[in-house]
Amino acid sequence: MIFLKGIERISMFLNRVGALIAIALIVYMLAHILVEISLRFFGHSTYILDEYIGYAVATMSFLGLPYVLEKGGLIRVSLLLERIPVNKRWPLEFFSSLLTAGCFVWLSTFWMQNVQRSYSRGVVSETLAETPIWIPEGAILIGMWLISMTLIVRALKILVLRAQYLPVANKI
Amino acid sequence: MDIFWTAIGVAFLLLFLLTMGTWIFASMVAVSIGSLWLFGDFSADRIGLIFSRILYRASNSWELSAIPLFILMGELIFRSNISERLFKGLVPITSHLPGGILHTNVLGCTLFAAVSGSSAATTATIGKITTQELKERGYDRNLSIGSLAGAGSLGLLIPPSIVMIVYGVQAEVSISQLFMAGVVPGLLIAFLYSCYISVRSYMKPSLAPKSVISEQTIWQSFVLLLPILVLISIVIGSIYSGIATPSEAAAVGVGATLVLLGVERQLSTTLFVEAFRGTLITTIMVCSLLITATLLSTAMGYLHLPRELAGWIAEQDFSPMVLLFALAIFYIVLGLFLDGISITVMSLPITLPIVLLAGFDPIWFGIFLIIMIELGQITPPVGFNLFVLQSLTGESIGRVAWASLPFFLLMCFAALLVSIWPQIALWLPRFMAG
Repeated sequence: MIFLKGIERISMFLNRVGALIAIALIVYMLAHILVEISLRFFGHSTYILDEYIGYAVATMSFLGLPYVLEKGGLIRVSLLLERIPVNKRWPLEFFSSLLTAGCFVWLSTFWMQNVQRSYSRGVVSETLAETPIWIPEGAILIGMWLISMTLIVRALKILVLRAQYLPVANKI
Repeated sequence: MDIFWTAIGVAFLLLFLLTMGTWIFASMVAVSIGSLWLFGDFSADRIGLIFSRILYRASNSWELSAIPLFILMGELIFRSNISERLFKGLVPITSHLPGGILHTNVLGCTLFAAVSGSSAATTATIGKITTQELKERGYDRNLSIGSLAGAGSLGLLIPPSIVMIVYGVQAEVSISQLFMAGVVPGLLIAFLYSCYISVRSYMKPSLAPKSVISEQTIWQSFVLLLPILVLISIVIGSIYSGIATPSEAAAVGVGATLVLLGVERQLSTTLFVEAFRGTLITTIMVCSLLITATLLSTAMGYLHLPRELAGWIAEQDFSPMVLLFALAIFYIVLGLFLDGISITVMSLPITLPIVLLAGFDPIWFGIFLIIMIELGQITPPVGFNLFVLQSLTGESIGRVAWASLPFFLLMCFAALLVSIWPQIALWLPRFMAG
């Protein structure tokens, strides 16, 4: 249990860091778009708006997801869950966590191959910026790992606590 | 495998996972993987390669930046005193109408919807002021709650709208045209709501006691409404003057809101922390659904489900109206259990090809779909507006749903009008396009 608590603390810390980066990326998107619009009035452009905002959206989505998942901010249909006493919900919670973790661990192994390939071949974007593609791809990979870690920790916690496990309230 | 059994199998898998309480985004990932493996005989390697690329392509889309930015704008306004001034500004205008300040629900939501992309944000922002004010002034509780639930859902139809951006990205149609197409149907629904309030209050004056004596002049009202009117003009104006695309208009809107709140000395660390936290949670919820729905859409495409189903429906030779009626029932039933964005992303891979094959305009269908989603917002057991109102008023979900019923029926009537006369939605975008 002490080991699990330690892992959970690390996972929560990393999720917070991910959330802060995601928020910073929202601020970046706002700033970049406003700069681009301003430059247009003078006949200029940053020429990388679409490309970098695209990377920012992707990175924000994957790095922010584990934090929102941890906080119960993702939608689920809880019509059945709500009809089951809290102490008897753990098999369903365990099933959901394990299934989702399985999907993301599995997808991340394929995604890691993509990142490795982009890095070893020095693949760059076909734009003026010639961005090394492994950087945005790598950020997504880290997000996938964080999601997997959050879900695995959640599944282990449910398995250990069983009837005592209290899930964070979800939106629906 | 026969396409019929494939469709049944996919639907069963999805329903099973959703019922088990699996997150909707995770259900879509699992069903996409499972259906290609079980029904498409794809190898695990092939599925992994396809999906990892699709996941990247779906998330690496700059149009999606409008989602966090419009949400941020709504969050900033929600946490400022703009909604309070909106109410005070509308009181002198509405107090002389039959139904009195009950109309502030409808007008307030209509105005706020023009700066917010979400119905829950619209309902919460207007409701946090009006529910209490109307209760204290002795207005009928049902009419007050119902009108707010109905009008709050206009946040989806009156531009800017998060669901419209999601639909536009998925259906690959112009988001600015969708925005324009939502204006007239949105105003039509607001008009129907106001007429209903007026007629009910005229027939039974005790529903809306004439107790409000406003000392404000119309000019003072205008000053109070000015911030929201300025924001509407900046957001909509930036799109249609060509200064910004719909995605960029979100940044312009946030910039204008920050300047406005800065001038009025309303910016604080607490406001920023809360607004950004709220924005992150809602944004990730929407984006995770949108991104993973692309996997579902790809899986359905590989299984040829949309094409085969569209072909089967074409063979049945249903009239367009019968098809539309069936779709309306389908969406209303889905709306009982799912939220609007989930419905949009999960159903479009199947319904859009069918609708296009039947000859419907994709812009028009976007508006029809959004009205259907709005209906889902005010139907129990899962209706976001009902949840928002439940927490605002402290009433039971049953009472809130019952109060919303007349407004649900009025929205059904509006959907019928838009179906019979598609020009209601299509006139403005065509006019603007010249």
